[in-house]
Amino acid sequence: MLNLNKLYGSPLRVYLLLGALAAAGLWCGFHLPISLFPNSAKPEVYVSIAYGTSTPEEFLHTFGTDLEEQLRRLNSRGIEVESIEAQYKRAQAEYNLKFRWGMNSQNAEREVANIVNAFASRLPQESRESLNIGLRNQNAGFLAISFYSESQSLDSLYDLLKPALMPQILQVSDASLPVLYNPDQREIRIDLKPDVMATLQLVPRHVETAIQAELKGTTGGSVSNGKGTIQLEMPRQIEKIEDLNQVIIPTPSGKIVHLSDIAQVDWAPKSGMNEIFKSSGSPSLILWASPRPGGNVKRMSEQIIEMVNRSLKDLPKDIHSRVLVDPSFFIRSAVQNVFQEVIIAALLAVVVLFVFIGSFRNVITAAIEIPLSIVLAFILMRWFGINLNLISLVGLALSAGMNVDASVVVMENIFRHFEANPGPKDAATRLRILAEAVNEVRFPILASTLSSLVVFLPLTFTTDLSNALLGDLAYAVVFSHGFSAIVALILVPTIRLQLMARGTEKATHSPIEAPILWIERTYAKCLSWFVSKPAAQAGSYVVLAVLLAFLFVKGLPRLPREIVGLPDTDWVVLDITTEGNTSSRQLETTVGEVEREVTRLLGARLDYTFTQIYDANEGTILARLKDKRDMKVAWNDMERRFRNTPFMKFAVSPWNPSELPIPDPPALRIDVMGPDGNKRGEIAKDLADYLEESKLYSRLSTIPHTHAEKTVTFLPHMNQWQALAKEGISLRPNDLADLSLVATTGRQVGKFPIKNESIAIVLRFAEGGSKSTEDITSLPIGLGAKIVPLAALMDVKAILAPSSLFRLNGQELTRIEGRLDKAKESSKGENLRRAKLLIHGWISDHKATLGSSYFVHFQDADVELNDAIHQLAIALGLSLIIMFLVLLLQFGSLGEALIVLVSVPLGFIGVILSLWLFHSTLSLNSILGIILLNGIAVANSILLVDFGNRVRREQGLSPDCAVVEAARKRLRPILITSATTILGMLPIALGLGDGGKILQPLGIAVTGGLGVSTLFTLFLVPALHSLWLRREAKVSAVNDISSPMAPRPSPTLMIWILLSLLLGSARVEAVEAAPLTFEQAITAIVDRSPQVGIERGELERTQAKNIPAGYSFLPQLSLSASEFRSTDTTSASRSYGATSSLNLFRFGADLAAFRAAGLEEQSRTHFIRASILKAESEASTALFGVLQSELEIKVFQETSTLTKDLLSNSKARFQKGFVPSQEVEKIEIDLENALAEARDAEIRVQQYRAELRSLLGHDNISLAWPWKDRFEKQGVTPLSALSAQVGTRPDWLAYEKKVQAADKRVDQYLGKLLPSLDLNFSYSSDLRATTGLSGAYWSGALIVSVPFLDGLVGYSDYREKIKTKSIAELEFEQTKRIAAKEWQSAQATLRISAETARSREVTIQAARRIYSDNLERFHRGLVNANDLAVEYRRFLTSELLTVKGWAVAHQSLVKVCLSAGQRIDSCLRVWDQLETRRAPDLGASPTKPTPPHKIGN
Amino acid sequence: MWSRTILLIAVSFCGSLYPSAPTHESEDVPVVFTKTAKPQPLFDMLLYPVRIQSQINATVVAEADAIVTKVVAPLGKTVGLHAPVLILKHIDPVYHYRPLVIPAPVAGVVSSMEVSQGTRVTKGQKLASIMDPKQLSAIAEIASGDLASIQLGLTAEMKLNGSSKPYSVTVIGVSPQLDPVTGTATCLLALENRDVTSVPSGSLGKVTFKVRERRAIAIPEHALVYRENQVFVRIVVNNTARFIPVNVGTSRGGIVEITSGIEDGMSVILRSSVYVAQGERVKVQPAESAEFE
Repeated sequence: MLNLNKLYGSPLRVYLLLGALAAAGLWCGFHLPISLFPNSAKPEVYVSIAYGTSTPEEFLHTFGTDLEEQLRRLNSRGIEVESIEAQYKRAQAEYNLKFRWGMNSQNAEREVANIVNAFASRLPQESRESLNIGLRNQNAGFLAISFYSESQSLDSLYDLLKPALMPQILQVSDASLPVLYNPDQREIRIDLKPDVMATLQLVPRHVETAIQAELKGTTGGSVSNGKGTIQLEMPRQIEKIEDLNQVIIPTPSGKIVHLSDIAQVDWAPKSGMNEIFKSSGSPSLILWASPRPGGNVKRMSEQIIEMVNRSLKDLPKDIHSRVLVDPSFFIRSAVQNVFQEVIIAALLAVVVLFVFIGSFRNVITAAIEIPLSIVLAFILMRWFGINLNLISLVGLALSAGMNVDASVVVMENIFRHFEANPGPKDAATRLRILAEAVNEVRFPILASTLSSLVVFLPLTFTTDLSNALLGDLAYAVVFSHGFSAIVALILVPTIRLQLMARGTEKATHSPIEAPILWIERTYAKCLSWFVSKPAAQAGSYVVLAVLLAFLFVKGLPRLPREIVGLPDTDWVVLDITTEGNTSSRQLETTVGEVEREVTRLLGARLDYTFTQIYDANEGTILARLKDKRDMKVAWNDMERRFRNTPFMKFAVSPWNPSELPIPDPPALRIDVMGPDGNKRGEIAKDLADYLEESKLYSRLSTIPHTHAEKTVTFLPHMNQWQALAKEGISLRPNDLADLSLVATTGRQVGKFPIKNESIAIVLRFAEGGSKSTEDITSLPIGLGAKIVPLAALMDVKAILAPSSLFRLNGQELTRIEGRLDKAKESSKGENLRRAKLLIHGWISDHKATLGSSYFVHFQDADVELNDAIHQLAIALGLSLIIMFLVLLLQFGSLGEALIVLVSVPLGFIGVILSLWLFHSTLSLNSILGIILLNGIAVANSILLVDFGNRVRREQGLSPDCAVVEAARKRLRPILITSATTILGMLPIALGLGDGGKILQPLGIAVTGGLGVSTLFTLFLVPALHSLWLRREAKVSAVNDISSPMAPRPSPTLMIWILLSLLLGSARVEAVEAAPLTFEQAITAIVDRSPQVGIERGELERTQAKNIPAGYSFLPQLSLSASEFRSTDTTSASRSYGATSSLNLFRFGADLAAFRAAGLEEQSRTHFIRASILKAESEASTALFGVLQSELEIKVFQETSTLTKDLLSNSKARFQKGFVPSQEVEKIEIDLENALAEARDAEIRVQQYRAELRSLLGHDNISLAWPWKDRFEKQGVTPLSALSAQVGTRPDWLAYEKKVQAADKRVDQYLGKLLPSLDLNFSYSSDLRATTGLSGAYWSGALIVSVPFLDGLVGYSDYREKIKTKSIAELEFEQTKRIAAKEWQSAQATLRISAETARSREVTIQAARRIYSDNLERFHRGLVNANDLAVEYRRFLTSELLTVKGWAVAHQSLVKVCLSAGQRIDSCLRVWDQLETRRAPDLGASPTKPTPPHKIGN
Repeated sequence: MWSRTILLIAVSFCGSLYPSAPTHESEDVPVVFTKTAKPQPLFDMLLYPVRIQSQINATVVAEADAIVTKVVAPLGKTVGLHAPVLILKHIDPVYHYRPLVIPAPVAGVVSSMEVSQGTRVTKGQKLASIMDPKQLSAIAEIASGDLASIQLGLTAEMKLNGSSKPYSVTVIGVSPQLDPVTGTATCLLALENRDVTSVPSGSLGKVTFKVRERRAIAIPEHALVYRENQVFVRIVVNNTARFIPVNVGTSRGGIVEITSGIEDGMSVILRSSVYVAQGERVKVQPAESAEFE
């Protein structure tokens, strides 16, 4: 261990060391990237593909579903894709892949690009060329600069600016793809003359082929002439646009024409859908730049703006530029603002210190820690790749308040020690005293720092949103606060020692000493009154408990929720969506009107507007305000003014150039599902309109648009096309669709390079193309000498079709989303409730429309926020538990630990009340505030309780006096801590500046919570503590008499045991045998298996270990506490031992262990599945036994009834003397045998039932299968088929592959293994209270060990799992084989027994005929009764045999179903076939034979 | 002119889609823009490509094997009936005693000349064609489905490609036979305008037949509301919105015919400031007032 004592003696070394570190920290600080939000990504990758010539449906079925499937496979490669959205629009398909938080953006894009590019080879050329893959980051800031000039056209401006600007701008490393966008894009347009085309019998195909042939240059090979190689090539024939005129087109009639004969070639502005950009009204060139993923948007913007300004100086003076969107300015001001807050927080902390401490010099000594620990934290921030951003800066601001504590404690103790040793001292003595003083507090400081850091630990390990947002804050606090302890233990004593050498060793007094003393006195008076009045205490507990309960039940759920407040901005975005426009010029007019209205509405508040029109139906107006403070009013005004109409939808939102994709979920999300897109769209539209009319949501939208669009379909007249073919006319129906494409939107036939840009060549019809259906149907087509309309060859029909199709993760659905105006956001929950009611009503009204295949599902729109809050709540719970454990460790008493924790619920009261009072929100920040608050509040009450104990011990006061005395003495440090923190947070709570808006809820939570908590803590904790001390005194008195070693049974523990016993017995009673279906029975059997139980438990643990990976990094605290009390009442000694292992760093070993855990999970799952299989086979055997035996019983009972009849008949005949007695005896024997067999069957039933009971605990398997009715109708008892479904077993081959992949991965990880740092500490405190001195002797050891590699353990575990897996696999294979065998034998039995039964039926018919003949003859007196009885018996016997035969057949059928896994329906089909094949004159059911004719009556 | 009326209505309705000058409205009562339903003239339109051809189209052929000695009437020359067009020299010296003068079979303009001086021609070879550019007619191929609507005497409007000048044409003959290859019957149309000389024969154009003329109520397509497979039109009665189920007929240019449901004088909601529910109170703002300008 470092010898610190020596260090204090050599200040130069300390200063040099810390100076060097501080310099490094400053360097790091200046080189930290500045951004708005933490550098965490949730990439979204989009892919867009134009259909080319195919229709959306065609594309979906040929390529779309396949591509989606391939993209979905990313998941199986370990890349977690959250969702894949596919939208098949009118002209193109768009895929949107959302990845999980933390996925590297570039990797995500690369993976998607790999798949899509591999897939692209299948696509037709036009689609392939239109393929577009990119990263979508809607929140990423972008830079936009517009250029315009009064004297030049956009084109010439573009030609001037592009070479001047772009080469250098493309060098900017942070920008992803800067472009100078010229909205006036041009194309080479070939305007075909329709009449000439028709006369020459040409269709666009001919032109296209001719042009494409000319656009290609071909090589003619090469010749080698000894010296070198000569390349031969035929260059492209077309060099200039004019050359296109000379393209030769052969007509079908054999003529040759030039393109100029049939068309006009033009270099014209792009037609159709055009993007339009305007800044404050005038069309401009726009320079766009957005940062590459992980790039620094601020640096990028600054560099580009600088370049633009430099370049413009050299260009003509009439070129103006305007920075439309500059995120760097925004980020700069926001970050500066927060930086100011950090400084204010630090200054306020210093002021508070000064007020309480007094001496300026001492304050500086303590306060130097604040900047130093922040600067040192920069080093670690750089190391861990954490940016300077709003979140991490606030972390630093938070720690500023907390950091002074350590140095104040060190200083105080040094003063105390020096005061205890008065008189002049030499340097060595001073050093000795100082070292003593520092050593004494070293452990408490480390422990308290650690405990406040431990509170934050769970935060660093949260995932997804909360980690992305708050992880940096936790890191910043941990780093800075961690360093503060080190600085306090090294630097502060060193400075102190130097100051001491100059003789300033006295503690000074506060400048406002008198008021503070007055406060202390008053507080002590009030407190002693409170402590002595149990009624007042009880009253206040009850009031606070009721208040807390009320706030939890009523207040908390009503608090509006948000993810995080966003910094103020001066940009308002108004999105405009219309329906039915066909060209962007149409929308331009509309947007122009809206823009005018925006200008009017915002008036003087508006700086300028920036309009973007993306296509015919989508546009955006960005309005920049002069002052950020007007934002709220402007936003409200705009939302009120621009409300949705059936034709136009608006969305208003402020715009922040941030990098973090903070989700902005709608208030309502409903999915409509069903097979047919058209009908689904209709349902969604009806539902959306219904909701619109309820006016619950101000902005409802559907994905995709449910707006049905007119689609015109061409249906060729087939017979006519055949006639055309006979005539030798080489026209194809596709040519006509192509013609229509050219006549309407135009068709791109190739590209042509002009000035290094490839320009599209577009075929169109002259005169602006066709505008109506009639125009298209009357397009002229030359057929021989005739000119016929297109309608003569095709049926042209207009139908309504949905405009696009939306697929989420491969499922087609229509989604309805509702949003609320900002002003009404607080009524979100209420609106959702009402919407649910309305929609449930709607659903029940529209049952007929929905039918059985359309569903309306509510989705949780806030899922991400709720998950994040949930995660943070878990983190909060964990931090409370850790805190509790630390307290238990510190106090060794459950009661005292709980008393200390009382401040936590008090803090909750304060937090909820203040959030509610100041209309703040329950956000990630406010929960973080609660976590933070708990740390500080608990620290305060620790001081109170700890000091109370000490005072009581040292001064032997009564409990009441002790706590009051302790509280009076501790009031000052408590006030210092609370005041520094509250004042530090005050600027944030007031929401001053940009950072304030983000963290206002946190500020409010901390200031409000801490204020309330401190106030109540100061009274309640001492009061409770005195109660506890009084009780302890009583107990110890009792204990002293009985036994010193008697353990104290904890009442809480007793209650727990009692409760769990009660609950346990209740649960035992609840396990009553309710009838189970077969599936349930199997589940029950599996549940009963102890091995499965163990495996499941392990599986859950593994999953728990595996899924929230972060939590395994949590410190594991084990605790043992023992107390020794000797009979000597004056001396007591306690010892506590605790070990705590903190895996502070995430290293490869841990990762490997997680992977191994994942594999373990898989193998356990497979084991459980195998067990289920086994249980299934066991249960089905037993159940089948029961069923078979029960059937047998029935058969034998039937037999015995028949035999009984025969017996009575025989007896009668014997009495009449017709038959001898042997006959009767024989029948009696038969009867006995039948009964015996029935009994045997019964015994078998019992045996099988017993087996079932042993498997299941009871034998109550209900036979209520869905196909029971059908079986019963067919006369089959519910001996239904049970499906073992062998076919749907896990795919072992796929599993094997996964294991191999995992193998590889584990090997990789093993390569990266690094030791994890374990921090073991243990301490024992040995108190000897025999002397009156302050005799706490602490000894502590901090062992930093580098133990062995966790990963290796995980790895060997994983090897074991592989073994287990292969055994399970083997078992499964066996089971499968047995099942197959059973299936075959059962099938054979079925076949044979059915055959047998059928052949026996023939016998039965014969027997019956003979019997009835004989009966007739008997009546006529031709046959004697004996012969008749013989015939009757023969008949009976054969009937019996048939019954048995059918029974066996039937059983085998059941067995077939049981063992084979055939679907029930197919079994029933087999059964039906048997039924129809049977002889018609037999009774309907083979198991219920027709009763024989009675004779003798 | 009907087309112009339709166009006007279409334009005005399209204009009414979007608020030209949105007004500040109170938040509670939705503002609706209405129009009174009135029967208006409607018709169905049939569009066909037509080819202009001359009614007189004569061919000049060689009467014997000969050599062209002179082109009397070159291309474009107006010739009278029997006026000489070409002079040939017989190949057989027996007939050399007099030149072979080929006269114009009709009066008209030489529209093609396929020989020149010195050309050796055979008997029956086509030498030139003469047509009368003043007697033009148009040919349209009518699809079988539309034949019933095209009757003799039906007038229609024709426009030639590349020009916006309308010509009036009348159906003067319809072939009673369908061409099995094209599935169409040829229809002959007579041009009525006197100044047809500017129209070159053989040029293509489009003819528009207006059939089934009638008076009916028509409203913009966007005023229709689709609910559960039924079509509704919203009307205002006593400042209250009502949904009326209607049957719709044909639609063209964004205007749809209402065959039943809406009666003369009903106040139909064309658009509203927000979504309007059945029975909701609304504030009416007539669409005609501001938006016909």
